[in-house]
Amino acid sequence: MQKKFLSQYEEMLLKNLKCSSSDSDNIPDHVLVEYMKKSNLSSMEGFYQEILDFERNGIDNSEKPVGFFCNIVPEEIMLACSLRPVRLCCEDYGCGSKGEEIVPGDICPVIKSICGKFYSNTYDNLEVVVIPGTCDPKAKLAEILSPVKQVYFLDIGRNSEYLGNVDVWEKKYTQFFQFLKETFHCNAGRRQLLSACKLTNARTEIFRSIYQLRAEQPDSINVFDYYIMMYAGFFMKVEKWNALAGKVYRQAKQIHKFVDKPRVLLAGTPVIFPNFKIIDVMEESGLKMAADLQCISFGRFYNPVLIDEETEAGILRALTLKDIAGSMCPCMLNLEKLVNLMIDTVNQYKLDGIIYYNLRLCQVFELQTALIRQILKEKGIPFLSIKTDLGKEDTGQLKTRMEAFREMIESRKV
Amino acid sequence: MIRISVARRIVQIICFVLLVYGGYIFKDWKESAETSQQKIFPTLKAPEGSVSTTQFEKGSILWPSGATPVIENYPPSLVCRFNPKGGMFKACIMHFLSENLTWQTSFKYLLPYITLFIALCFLLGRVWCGWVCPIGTVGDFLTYLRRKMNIPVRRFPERFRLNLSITGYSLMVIALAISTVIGMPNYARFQCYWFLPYCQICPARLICPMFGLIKPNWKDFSTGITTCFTILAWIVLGLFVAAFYFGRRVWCHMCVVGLINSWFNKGSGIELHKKAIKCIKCGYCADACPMGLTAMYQLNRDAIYNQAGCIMCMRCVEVCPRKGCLNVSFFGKKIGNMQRRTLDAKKVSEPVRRNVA
Amino acid sequence: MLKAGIDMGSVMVKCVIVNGETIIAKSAARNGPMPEIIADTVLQQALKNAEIDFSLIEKIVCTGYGRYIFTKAHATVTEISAAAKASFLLSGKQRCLVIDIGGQDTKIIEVDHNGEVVDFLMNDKCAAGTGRFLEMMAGVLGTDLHGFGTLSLKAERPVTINATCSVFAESEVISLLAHNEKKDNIAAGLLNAIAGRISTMLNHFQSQIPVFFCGGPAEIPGLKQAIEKISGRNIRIFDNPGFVVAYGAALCVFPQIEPI
Ligand code: SF4
Ligand code: SF4
Ligand code: SF4
Ligand code: SF4
Repeated sequence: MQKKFLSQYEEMLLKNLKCSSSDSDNIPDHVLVEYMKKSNLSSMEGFYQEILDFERNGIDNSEKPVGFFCNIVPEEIMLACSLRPVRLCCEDYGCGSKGEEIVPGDICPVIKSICGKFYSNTYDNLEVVVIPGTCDPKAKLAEILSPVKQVYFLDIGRNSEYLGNVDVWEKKYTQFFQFLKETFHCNAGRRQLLSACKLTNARTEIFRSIYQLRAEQPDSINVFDYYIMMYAGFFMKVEKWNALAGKVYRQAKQIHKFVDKPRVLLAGTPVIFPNFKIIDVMEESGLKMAADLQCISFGRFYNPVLIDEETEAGILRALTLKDIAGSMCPCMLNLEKLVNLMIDTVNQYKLDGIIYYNLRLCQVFELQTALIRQILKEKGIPFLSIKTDLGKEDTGQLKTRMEAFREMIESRKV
Repeated sequence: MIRISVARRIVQIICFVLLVYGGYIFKDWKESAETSQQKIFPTLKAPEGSVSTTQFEKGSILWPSGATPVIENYPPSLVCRFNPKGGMFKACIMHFLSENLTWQTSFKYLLPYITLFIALCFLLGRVWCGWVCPIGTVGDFLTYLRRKMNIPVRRFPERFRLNLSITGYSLMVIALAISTVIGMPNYARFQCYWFLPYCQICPARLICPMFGLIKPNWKDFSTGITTCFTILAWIVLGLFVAAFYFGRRVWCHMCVVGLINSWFNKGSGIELHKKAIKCIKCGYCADACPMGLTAMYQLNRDAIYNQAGCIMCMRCVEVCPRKGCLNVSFFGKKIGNMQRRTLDAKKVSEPVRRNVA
Repeated sequence: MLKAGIDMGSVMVKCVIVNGETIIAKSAARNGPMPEIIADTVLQQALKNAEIDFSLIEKIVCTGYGRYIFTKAHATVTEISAAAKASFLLSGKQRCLVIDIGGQDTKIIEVDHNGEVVDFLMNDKCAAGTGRFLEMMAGVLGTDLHGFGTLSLKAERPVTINATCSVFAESEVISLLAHNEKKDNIAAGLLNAIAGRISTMLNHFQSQIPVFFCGGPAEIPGLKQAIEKISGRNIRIFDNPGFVVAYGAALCVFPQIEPI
């Protein structure tokens, strides 16, 4: 990072930015409370509490928190260095408009909100921010944030296929591990990595159970609760998340809620609290999100770290593989995988259709839509692509589409 | 269900004990085994004037540690003639071929042996390599040691592996050619030095006795040729062990018996299937494969896929994170879920009823 | 059985009363600030045209953007299903594509030989390429929709309009006018721009399926020809294209859908 170059501007930037966005009344609590009311599980309370705490107080720095984006930054490595990984992806409309003071308005909404959030106080405690070079805006983000925070740029290229790129990934991960060890003066090694992997594997196990339960009975844990859990997973400690999610799963398992509504697969851009517009509309239109293929949930949690070689390099390799498996990002070369996953998930859980969600202005999600549509049409799977942004003004239109989609599915079934 | 790699370890250890220490374990059983065997399998004997293993003295390279084996047969893995007390089985197929080419045994006598060998190959394919072969087990043990020493694995490029197999095939051709030539009456005088040329350099000849608690025939410097063979054998053994410092199952790429076995891998009873639609191209399978095969990963259509190089260790099936993507079947019958247990989501206690309007 | 279908579009409210599958009356009015009242008047007007009493109507199905506003409706259905239903009947029960240009959005619906929607495409949040956009542009040119179409037919050398966004298109038109470009050329250019967008959407579907055209703007002279020219497909316009969706709604019986 050209820290020197940017540091000249640092003061100026900070002065401009911090003062204008100092009002850090981020997400109004009542949005959260609204979703809390819809929940039918008492055990979800813990998650809501965590989010409230987080939104009010930011991250506590009892454990050195390290911010990161995307699945391809290996959490296990940070955990092994006894750091606290905090995922920073954010789709907050309020932050988004704040972010427009720094970045242009028609840039990726996620970047916009992140910028907004960064120059408010939420992330003051972060020690390092790890930014992967998955897409071009992220790369630039690394530079934009560098006056404010120490940034580590993890560039692993755009090829997420095993044969093409695995060695490069592994090397980058090794370097990243080295960097963390040096920065935080810890001598983590094989043992620490192993126990970190154990933690995340436990998380995978719970997530898989929840995923399957929801796929069969989407109302056992409603979709808002589901995404709240995913969002809480951004910053909660893994042990704590595991314990709470386990509780939720056990409670939800008792409830046999059985819906006679079309169950669909939601793919595409991640749904991140508080931007629940799409799932709000889906629920209202009588569609049940039964499974999803998004990076924040499926991509992040579904694949386990399978350690083949219990050497340090072997574990890093296993982490690489896990992240290759989990990369749902359209910036990578992985369309075949995505389409396979879509078709297979629909077949496996006998779902009724696929909704592909584009958050507008992330062109890459959009780029592949036409291709996916074609393939799925050949397979006879109902497919709806939705393009929208952080604003609320197109809710009516979205609803029309979703309802038409539901009517289409229902008329087919009869 | 027990994890497949654990099951494999157990089977490997049992087979190792049986095959290497079989000579001790089944000492008393020997007699009856011999008589019952003779009913089907003709005893293969060296013709007049030909050399046979039993003639070699202690101290010479081909000294067979005296005793005859329990069962005179040749299963498709490195079951060595030089196991202590003769071992459980007669020897590996390479030994069989070399010996009989030299002896010019008529095909009529060989037929039952060859039939049994091919039948065994077709029954299990290279499962013999992945699950039974003692040398494979030794290799896996060396790999285990390497891992304990925290030494990262090297993955060899396709080319290198191809070269190894070419070396193996060349060795096979040379060894068999020598065996044939020395079987001709004119060249019979070379027999005492060139007999069983492959065995003379095979690492199993040194390794198996070592585990069997007898001193292997380390060296024979009596003549120039034996010295050459001794040194060659050392080099091969050295490479064999050293290779495990870098990779997994390196030897198995050039092992002659494994290569013969691999001809039958396609079409054998045990089969690996891939369901392409389930694959997410994660590479877990390619990465875990001890033979470094990426074909499972690359395959883009539903297919039965037994590659020549695959030793049927089923590691790939175990690690594939997508349930039902890779499967194993035995004569068309699917062998249950082999995936890692931890990956199997917990069953929802009550089956879901779906209303289909 | 007498049924009423009301299409509460963003520009027009249309009502059709059917007996079985035949239309017995229709009426329409411009939508305004009090959509529910307007819908009610339109319904009354239609009843008057049909000379029947309100109590005879067994079912009122509402569709369109404002379908939840009209509380007298027994059921609601989306424009897409309604358009598909109607087009399937009107086209003689065959597999077809329907282009429906509404006030706020443009959709293309693929109907299979059972009359079911298999796929649909809708333009996105942006207004360009919709009825509203055309109206706006007609306004800039100082005419109405019909006049706009007639203008375009006279064009000798249609201009190329590059802007895809309605706001930018407007300024482009204004600047063209300032450059003394002929109105008919501009009108033709605008129609071509829209036809281009629709053709792009059409090309997502197989080419051998017959294409039908409905929605108010279908009546604009020249639009159909422009689309035909660009996409290279034959397009047929239904009679009374503006009422097709309302007719479809009247035919839709989705008893399970309660107004929310
Ligand atoms: S020395 Fe090698 S080739 Fe000879 S019998 Fe033993 S395993 Fe077979
Ligand atoms: S290839 Fe390996 S496992 Fe197979 S017989 Fe040879 S040494 Fe044994
Ligand atoms: S392909 Fe699979 S079964 Fe064959 S050797 Fe490799 S991991 Fe083992
Ligand atoms: S492990 Fe399974 S899912 Fe992954 S690449 Fe191999 S076959 Fe495909």
